[in-house]
Amino acid sequence: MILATRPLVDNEIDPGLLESSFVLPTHGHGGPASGQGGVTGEEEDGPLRIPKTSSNTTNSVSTSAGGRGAKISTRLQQHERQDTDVVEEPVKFVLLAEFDIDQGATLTHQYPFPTGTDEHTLAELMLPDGAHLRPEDWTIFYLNQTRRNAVAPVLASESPSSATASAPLGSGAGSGVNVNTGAGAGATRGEEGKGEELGELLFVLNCVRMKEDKSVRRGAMVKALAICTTKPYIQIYKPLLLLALEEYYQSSSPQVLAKLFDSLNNVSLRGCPTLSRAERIILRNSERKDLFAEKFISPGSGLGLGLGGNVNGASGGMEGDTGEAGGMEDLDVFEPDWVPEGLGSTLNASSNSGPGGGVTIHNGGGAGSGSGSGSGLSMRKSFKSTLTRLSDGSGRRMRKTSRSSLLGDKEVGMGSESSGRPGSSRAASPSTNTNQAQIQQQQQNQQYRGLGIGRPEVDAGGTVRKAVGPKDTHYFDTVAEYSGLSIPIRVPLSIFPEEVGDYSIIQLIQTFTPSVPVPFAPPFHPHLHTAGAFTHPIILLLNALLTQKRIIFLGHGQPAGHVANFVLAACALTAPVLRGFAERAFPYSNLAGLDILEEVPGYIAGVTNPRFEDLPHTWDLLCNLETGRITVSKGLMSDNGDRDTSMKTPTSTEQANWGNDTESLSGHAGGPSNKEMRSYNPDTPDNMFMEEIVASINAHYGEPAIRARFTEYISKFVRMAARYEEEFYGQTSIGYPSQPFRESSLGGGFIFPDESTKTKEWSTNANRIEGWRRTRSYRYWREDFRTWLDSPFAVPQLDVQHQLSRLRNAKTMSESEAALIYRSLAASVTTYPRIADLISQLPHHNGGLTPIALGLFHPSQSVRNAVLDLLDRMQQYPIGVIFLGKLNCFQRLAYQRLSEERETPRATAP
Amino acid sequence: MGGQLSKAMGRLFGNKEMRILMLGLDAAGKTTILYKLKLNQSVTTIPTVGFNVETVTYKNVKFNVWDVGGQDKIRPLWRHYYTGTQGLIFVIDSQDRDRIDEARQELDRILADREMRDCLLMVFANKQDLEGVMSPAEVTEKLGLHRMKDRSWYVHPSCATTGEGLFEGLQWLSQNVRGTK
Repeated sequence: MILATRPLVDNEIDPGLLESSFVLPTHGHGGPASGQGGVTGEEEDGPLRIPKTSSNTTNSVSTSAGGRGAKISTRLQQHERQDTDVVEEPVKFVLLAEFDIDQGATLTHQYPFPTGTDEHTLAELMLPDGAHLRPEDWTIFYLNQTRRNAVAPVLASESPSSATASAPLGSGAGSGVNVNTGAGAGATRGEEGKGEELGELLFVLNCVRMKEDKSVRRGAMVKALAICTTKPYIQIYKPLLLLALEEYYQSSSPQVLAKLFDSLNNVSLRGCPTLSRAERIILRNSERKDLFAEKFISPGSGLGLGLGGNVNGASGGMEGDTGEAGGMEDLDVFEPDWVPEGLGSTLNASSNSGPGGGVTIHNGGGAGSGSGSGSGLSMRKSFKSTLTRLSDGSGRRMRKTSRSSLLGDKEVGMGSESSGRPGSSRAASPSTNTNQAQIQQQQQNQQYRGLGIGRPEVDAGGTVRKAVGPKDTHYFDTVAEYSGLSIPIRVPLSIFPEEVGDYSIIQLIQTFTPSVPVPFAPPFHPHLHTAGAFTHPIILLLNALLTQKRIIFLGHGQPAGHVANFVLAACALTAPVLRGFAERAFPYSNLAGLDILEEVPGYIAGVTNPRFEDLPHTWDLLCNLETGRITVSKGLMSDNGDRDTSMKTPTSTEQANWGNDTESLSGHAGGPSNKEMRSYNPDTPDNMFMEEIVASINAHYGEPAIRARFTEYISKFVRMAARYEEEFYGQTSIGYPSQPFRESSLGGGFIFPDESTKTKEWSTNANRIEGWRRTRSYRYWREDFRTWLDSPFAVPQLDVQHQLSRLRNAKTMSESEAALIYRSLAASVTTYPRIADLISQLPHHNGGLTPIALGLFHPSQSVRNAVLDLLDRMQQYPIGVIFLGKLNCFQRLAYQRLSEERETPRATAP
Repeated sequence: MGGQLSKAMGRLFGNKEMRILMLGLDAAGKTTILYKLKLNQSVTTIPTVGFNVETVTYKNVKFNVWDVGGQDKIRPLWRHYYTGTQGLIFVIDSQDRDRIDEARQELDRILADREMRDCLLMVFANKQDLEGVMSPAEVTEKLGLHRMKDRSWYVHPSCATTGEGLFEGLQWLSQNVRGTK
């Protein structure tokens, strides 16, 4: 595995980094970008390298990794091509519907061409039940879920790449290697379904307004405007939809649709970073607003430069031990942390000081090489200062420095000097840099003009300090231009393809958590009532989601948009671990959509029509928002969950198991119901989990914290399912084989702490695991797991999660196991993707890097050194620096002391 | 559980519940009737997108009245409301002679559905306050109701804005509903 990183010293590019950022929207080939690159290239040579080396790198990944990366690299290349050649338009259609007082719901206009799906159904979904009762409402629904709501092939033929190539869902939201996992929903559904070729899932956001107007017959008009997009972050389009609909009310001209279409598709995402799956997990689990700031690049500089910055950073890191004449400013180690703020200033450059904006681009390069330079002797030095700084509250102070450095010419010079790389002229003088900066500035301005967008003026008039950097790296700030207005738009960066729209999991939980536990009445369903009468309603819902039951959220008299958010929240409960939920979600539906619902096994729908309550044969679970009650359909009880005939029927062994489990479950559920019917049974792991969740919500923990807990829960469920398969079917293809630590080999898979826990967990989980095994989300997971094993993020033969959970939770652990864990991690977590993946599994709320850092106190010198190596490696990346900074003082000091100790003999040796 | 209990109580004290579906061509006055019954107020209505549903209690009978939009394109959705319906209120705009035939066709289509075979039919010849409207007898004739042998039906003149005739209609429905529930 070391091979994967070392041979690249020539190219000075870390494959891992490239891979993680390969989906960046352009690759320096684009006209303006390459021009930009040219200018810098004269000085620095860094950015120019990118186009040349990127393909090399991709190749070398596959070769050095012994073919394991082959599949991926092809995908990468495909994707790369797609990105450079095709400028993907996020918005595919704009639709307009009106409630005609003589005809009823009517689809009036479609732009740019008809979707090919049933117009009347579209109109009905756009004009929700009760639209005449409120001035404004929103509906959300999707297209391309079944043949009935699939868009016509004309779209597919127009852009074959998007239909066939890798990343239907993930492309823009950026998926990194997740291309393989999050994506493919469309393609896979095509493969698996009954031979149906469904295109990429389209998310439809629809704004409907009712205006009373005495001058028209019957006194009111109801019109609705919708956009169909491939992006899950549909909420960002809301303001524009409102504006455009208002305009349509005024003009009734179809031109409005065209204008909206163009406006939305011209929203510049230049410089929008693309984060890998691991990076997004890290980002979403943190409240810091500056994570991955180094990946933000100025829109003007184009990708050539931007990627350059990145690559430099990485290569710097990698080449560190080639003995680059180090001794850079200690500051540099920290630059990655704040440079982007400078870069960001170019984003808002128009009215801001030019030099600041331009020069920081060099800092981008410098940052990387600076941190790289650390690795040799100099690294020790920088590293020490790192610690010093870390220990006094670090980041914030550093950022201050960076800001002032933007203002001071001298310091600017310093910054750029540090950007010197071994091959290039380190002696670049401050003046040249300033010139260069100015040139770049001009070019950026030109580019803005060229794009015809006009310069973004979000922060116009702000000071440099104010305009600096992304305000919050969870979002990419850009603007949409509509009718001469600039509307700020925030593209969320830490979301996954199945997390659609703006929703609140907390609200979902609060709505369906009774203040006093209300027991469910028998009969109990083995998949759903996993704790019998006292199954928590949210767990019941989660079980229904996992086992692909038909779920309806009913909010009679409530806005359709409100109900839709419950569906979105429910679908997000299982993300980002599992997928396959968005494709069966119908955030808003009504009787007109019933035929479509009935085609989709395990749909999840939101409705406002209480008539659905009277049609229990159409659903399995009904969640009533008004009453907060969840009802299980009597019909489901009778056929015992075997409704879905399209699914593989269980084998005889499976059935045997099934029967046993059901028995044991009903015993379990029946016991307490007889003896202690009224007493709440909090003893099941699920109930304890929900108690914790509710307590967290009551303690005002935010949405991300709650979401993170569910992610852990689902992830545990999946690992347990793998263990279950091993135990009952002999083997598993959905997880690492479970084994405890033995003499010289590390453990893996899911291990129960003791037998009683195991019994308890099986009694809760066996049935729903069986249910899940027959669903699509199970099959997707199996694919995703396989793909993940082949990805650069995975460490072959090492179940990192298992090791971390051992380090965190093991009641007893031998010295030798700890030693082996630390040595293995240090030996295998060598590339950026793996480091990112490791960090993503060590969120702050779980103690951050503490489990690793504890290795600094291992009795064996060699183990301590291994941990030092690993931490040093992390420290080469901005994200690692941030996480190291979060260690407690004791651990940081140990790190510092050990580093010094190790450094001393080396320093004296030569 | 609670629902069953209240039903049992209802039987004991003579309370009845009736599920009513109110249909008719667009602009016949369905929503106005519904809210006149519910609120005893004449409200200005705008076209119903989807449905309105209200519970109206009259003489110990709880009428659960569904009022569904009547425009041409949304009539196919009516069928989703048939199951469990005990009484159909079909509203006729007595002034709209041009569309009385269209109304007859729609009514025939509704009553032809299996789910509606046991359902009572109550026709409101609405808008009787206007000049030159069709009389209830004329409406009866134009709808061809005399040909309906195996169904209880009743045509009553009404004026939704004043409320005239509405409760007589409910009265008839409650008296004729079968005591099965």
